[in-house]
Amino acid sequence: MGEEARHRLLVWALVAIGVVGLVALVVVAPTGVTVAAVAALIAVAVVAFAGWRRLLQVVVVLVLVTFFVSVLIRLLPGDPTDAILGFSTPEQRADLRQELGLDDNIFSQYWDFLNDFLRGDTNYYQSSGQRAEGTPVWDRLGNALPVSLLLMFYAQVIALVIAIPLGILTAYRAGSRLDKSVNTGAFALIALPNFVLAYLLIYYLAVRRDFFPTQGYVPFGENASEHFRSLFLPALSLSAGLIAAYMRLLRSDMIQTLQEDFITMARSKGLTTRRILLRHALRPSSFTLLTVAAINLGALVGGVVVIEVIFQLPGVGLLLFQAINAKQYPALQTMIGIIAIVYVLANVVVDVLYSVLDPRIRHARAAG
Amino acid sequence: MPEQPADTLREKAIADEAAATDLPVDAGIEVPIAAVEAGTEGVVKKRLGFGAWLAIGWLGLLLLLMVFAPLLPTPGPRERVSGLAFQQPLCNASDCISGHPLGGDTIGRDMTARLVYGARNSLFIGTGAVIVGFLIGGFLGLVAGYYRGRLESFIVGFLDVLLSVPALILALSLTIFLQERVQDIVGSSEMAGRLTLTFALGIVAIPSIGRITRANTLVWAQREFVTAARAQGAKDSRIMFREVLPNVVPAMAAIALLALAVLIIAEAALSILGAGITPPAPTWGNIIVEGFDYLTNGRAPHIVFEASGAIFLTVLAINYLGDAIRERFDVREARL
Repeated sequence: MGEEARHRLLVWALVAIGVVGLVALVVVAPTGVTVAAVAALIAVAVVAFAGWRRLLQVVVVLVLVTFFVSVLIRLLPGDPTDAILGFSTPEQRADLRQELGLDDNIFSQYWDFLNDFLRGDTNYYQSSGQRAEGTPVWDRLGNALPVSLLLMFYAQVIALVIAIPLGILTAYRAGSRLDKSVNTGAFALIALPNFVLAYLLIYYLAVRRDFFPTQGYVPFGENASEHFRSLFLPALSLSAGLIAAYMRLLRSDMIQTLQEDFITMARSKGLTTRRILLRHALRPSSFTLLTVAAINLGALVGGVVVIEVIFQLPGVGLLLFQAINAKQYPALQTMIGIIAIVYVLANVVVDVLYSVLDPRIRHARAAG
Repeated sequence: MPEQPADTLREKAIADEAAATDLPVDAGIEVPIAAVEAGTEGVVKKRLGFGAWLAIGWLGLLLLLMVFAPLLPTPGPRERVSGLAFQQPLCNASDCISGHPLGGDTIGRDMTARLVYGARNSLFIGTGAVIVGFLIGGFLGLVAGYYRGRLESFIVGFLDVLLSVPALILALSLTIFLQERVQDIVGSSEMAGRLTLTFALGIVAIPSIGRITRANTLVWAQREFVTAARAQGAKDSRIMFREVLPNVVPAMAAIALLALAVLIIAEAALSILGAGITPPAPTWGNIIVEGFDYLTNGRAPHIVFEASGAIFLTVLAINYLGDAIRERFDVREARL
């Protein structure tokens, strides 16, 4: 087996494990074991493809990010327990201060925070000073995370489904009127914030007509068709910017591919345009597209949060929104921490994938 | 059509940086090799196209409206006009109150006034944040790119850490946790909201501007005229600010414009998440939030649409101008 083939095998194995891990996360919900397994997998992949240095870098970033999150609560003015507890006795406050580690120095507070965080032992607080019973943040996050991930996944699917044909068409007819108008449309689409698109879709497809519900979420297990109906508008709003980006990328990539010798060769052999476009030209271009699609997963995080609030989907974004409005600062800390960590890790994975998929970067790294 | 922007600021900055330092960014797309020869030879100064003038026109109009807002023949942005509630825009029917071309909001305030004063707030915050990002990010990038060495790795590491938190979440956490403290210091909650948002969004703008500045500084600092200046005994600070900086500014400006567009959207997004400026003071974001219920029940969709439209047009105009600048000054970008 040549080096290239072995490499490819390794890549597919990792991708397969990654997909299985993601599915496990979504289906089983994050437990200590799955989280540890995913973390280990990522660490191995990083070391294998990007080296120890990168792993060290990631660890440093994670430490800094969690440290930042853990001291957030100290930014609150006066006694932070005032903001967390509405009315309370001095004893309750003292309890809470101790629990949040506010009396300790900043580093042991960080240590406490990290401990609670990793054990999933962070809570909502009621204004009476009691912990809200039975609602640790991690339990809610466990239910919310799959919704957010699904939404991101659907957005990607919609974006690719729309962008690929458009990209092929505009590349094939580059310079035509169709090409120009699609490109102008894409430029406008990039400037269209996804919440604005969401409002348009809600009003015209859910309020004026009754094609889709204005808000709410139906789990897949409950009713599959309602599930897709409830997520279609949110996913479509999220995918707007992606469609434009993917289409342009595929277009410029394919224009180059279409000028290659092997395309002329295929044409001289008398193959149909359709076959040339789909089999010969699309395949080399699709690698870049998929990589960029993976990169954009991270960029979707901000959008997902907003879209979930607009459509009242019970994902991480809505959880965040509720915690903000209820001034649940400790719970907020945990959520911000989670989102940041997931984002950091997703970017690392993409980075690794990128170097794996793009031979130029791979060889540059090997050489330098 | 000007060259396309990447779809997010972050990628934009990374792509630009990679392009300037001549790293391969994406497979199959060739990065032109003629590095930053802009202005030296064979550059055709393109005239601004129709679209660019349209963009300038819209932004200019907006600016005029913002500056002269108190002179507009509309009621104040917090003034309720009886009978104006829920009035549709461009209403001609006999029961409409004339003189309110954009209609009224749910409690009878004039939408034109709300939008104009909203622009004041939203754009004040956006521009302020970009300035914060421009000053801090630009300085860091310049120093890192000029002095290299350990300082550079430290600064780049710092920028990387900032980039590794999702921008919206970073801004969100800073606003939420800082707002009350700022309020304690300045007193008024409205001013506190503005300042906190400006600061929080400014922090978000630092890394992208910092990275692009560093990347361009790296390239320019190796040019002959810099060596010449050094040979003449110019001090580092003089070389940095007088020789290198003027050449780096176009790239910084192009990215700063993109950042402005992103931050205007971010302000609205923060409002939607419940962390923006709290109502009576209008911003484009909280106008949307206030009007949302009346979009879903179909009674007054124009409130949300007018504010959204203002955001969209402004972002579109800024993006277009940003692209025009990049094209004109040949700011390098990978065609991602």
